[in-house]
Amino acid sequence: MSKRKTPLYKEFTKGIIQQNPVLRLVLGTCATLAITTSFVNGLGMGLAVIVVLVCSNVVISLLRKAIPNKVRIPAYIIVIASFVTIVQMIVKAYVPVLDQALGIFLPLIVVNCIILGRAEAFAGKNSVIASALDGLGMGIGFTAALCTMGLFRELVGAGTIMSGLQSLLSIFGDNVLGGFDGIDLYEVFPALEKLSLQPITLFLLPSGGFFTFGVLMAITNRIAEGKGEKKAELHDCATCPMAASCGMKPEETKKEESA
Amino acid sequence: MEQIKKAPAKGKEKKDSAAKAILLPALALLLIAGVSSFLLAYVNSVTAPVIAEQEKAATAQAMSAVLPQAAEFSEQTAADGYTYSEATDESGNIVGYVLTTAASGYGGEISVMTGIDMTGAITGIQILTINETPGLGMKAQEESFLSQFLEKSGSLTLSKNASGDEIQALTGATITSTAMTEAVNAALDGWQEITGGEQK
Amino acid sequence: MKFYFALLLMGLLTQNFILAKFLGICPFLGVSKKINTAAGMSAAVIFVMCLSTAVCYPINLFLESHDLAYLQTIVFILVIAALVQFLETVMKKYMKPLYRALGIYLPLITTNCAVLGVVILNVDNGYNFPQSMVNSIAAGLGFGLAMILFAGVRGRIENNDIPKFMDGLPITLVAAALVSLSFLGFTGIIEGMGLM
Repeated sequence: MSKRKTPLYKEFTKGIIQQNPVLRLVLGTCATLAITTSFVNGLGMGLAVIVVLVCSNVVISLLRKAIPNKVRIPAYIIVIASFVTIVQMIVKAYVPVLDQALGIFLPLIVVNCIILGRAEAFAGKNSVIASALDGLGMGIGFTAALCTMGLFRELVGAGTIMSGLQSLLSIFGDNVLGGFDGIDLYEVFPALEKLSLQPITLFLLPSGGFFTFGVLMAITNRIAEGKGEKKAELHDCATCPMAASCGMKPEETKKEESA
Repeated sequence: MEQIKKAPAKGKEKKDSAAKAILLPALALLLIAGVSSFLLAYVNSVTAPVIAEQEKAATAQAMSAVLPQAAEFSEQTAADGYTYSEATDESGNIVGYVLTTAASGYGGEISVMTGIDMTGAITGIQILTINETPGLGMKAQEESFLSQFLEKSGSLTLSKNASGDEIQALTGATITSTAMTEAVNAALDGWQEITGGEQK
Repeated sequence: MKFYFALLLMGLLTQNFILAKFLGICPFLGVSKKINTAAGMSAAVIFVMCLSTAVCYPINLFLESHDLAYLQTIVFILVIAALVQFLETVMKKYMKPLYRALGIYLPLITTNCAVLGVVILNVDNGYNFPQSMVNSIAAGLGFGLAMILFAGVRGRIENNDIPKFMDGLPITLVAAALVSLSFLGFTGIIEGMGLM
């Protein structure tokens, strides 16, 4: 396996920018679009995904020799679903605000392609440490993308920056970050109200989610092209981590299996 | 234990004749499912009481927020099975009632807790669950909308151009505003039923 | 009756799974290049949604009556995965024409959040059995409507000169934003008909 030669720190850093799961690999789009109506929601979702991704990567990597190849997908699903349920229970118990904000998308982390994708493409073939680092890097990349989108949509759509941060961070104790609880632009600059400058609510609506993601994608594509890299392709079978286990394109399935 | 039942089916689908080829994967799956079930049961036993307590604390906090003059709340059941809370002050006099009602909004059910004093006037409103569109319906949570309900009684009407005692609907979120008004009116009706002839 | 009609309209238009709830975005972006593949995928999703709802409903009753509600997520996803596998096998053997039409889409559905999403939403909203079924059908039809409409939009995009940096995914997403915006116009239907 050629992966052995990759230095460990690269397993960590690759997920953050070069192979950012949201912006470069175009995975987990449902959660990305749905919950990024505010920075705090994006951060909360990101943290939940980091926990699930690191834990499931470690466990799957530990079990990679014990799981028979035939049932690996259902086995992965069980492991991932267990961690998602655990995170769900912890969030419900200790950060109920986040549970309300993420709603159905918290249990739906189970079907987030990033997690099953990393299990199939990485954790099932690599050592525990490399898998943990890979999960952490991918998770941070996911979180960064979500936070960027959330920050922008919240700023334009509601006129606030990081509002409600304290209720999310309360899990780490009171008054983290000096009690910083976000900025309301309309409080800081009362002139905005006088000029009757309203926030563009459209950016909080589903339509604004699609639009923001599209623009963000265009920007990253531009940057990637400048560096001579391929631009992010639509999520089709060639890039899909599930390709090995699905029958969409038989030719590719064979290639994957023999590799 | 559904996953255990499903496990053997997986092996069979591959149409392997050898029993070993079916049994081994099935056993592996069974084992993983078993271990994770135990783990989940354990985490659940730890978090379930915390969640229950959290919910109780949230309800208690919401109750004292909607009826600040009350010292104690006791749960009561009406003749039709509806539960509400009776609020009493330090000396045990009934000062009002707290009712939780719900109505269908745009994105699902909105559940509202309303505090009503003995004169039938609303003392406070808290939204317990809401899942409306951010930026539109979610504005129902803002003080400027909620404060309209305070001190009102009888039956409320919603209007896009409110005058007098009417409730001003949120711009672009009529369904949410209607649901809120409906829920609060249901609470006011409930109050009528509870107090019945007492307060005339 | 009114409630069922409202469920149907909401699933199709105002609470459209793809355009308002963001469930099932992957197939929406990935399999909507041609109208016939979009239709095939939609048919498979409607089928699996209804079947999963029908199977998960009694299972959920069992879980809830035994205080095992915390196992919902794991059980539902396994039931859906097993169901999809089972369906594929049965179709391959006994329903050849149907398999040829829908078979290739089935494995993709396991990780389609729309299917798990509708099952969880039914449970969260406390729908009874007929309500759950109507909601699933409505959600599936809404998914199909969005897929097929969008396949048409994408067909147009393909034939146009798109600025290079917007080509591919970005322009598709911006087009999706416009389609989603147009669906916002249906909001008044529910309100105007006094369904809610």
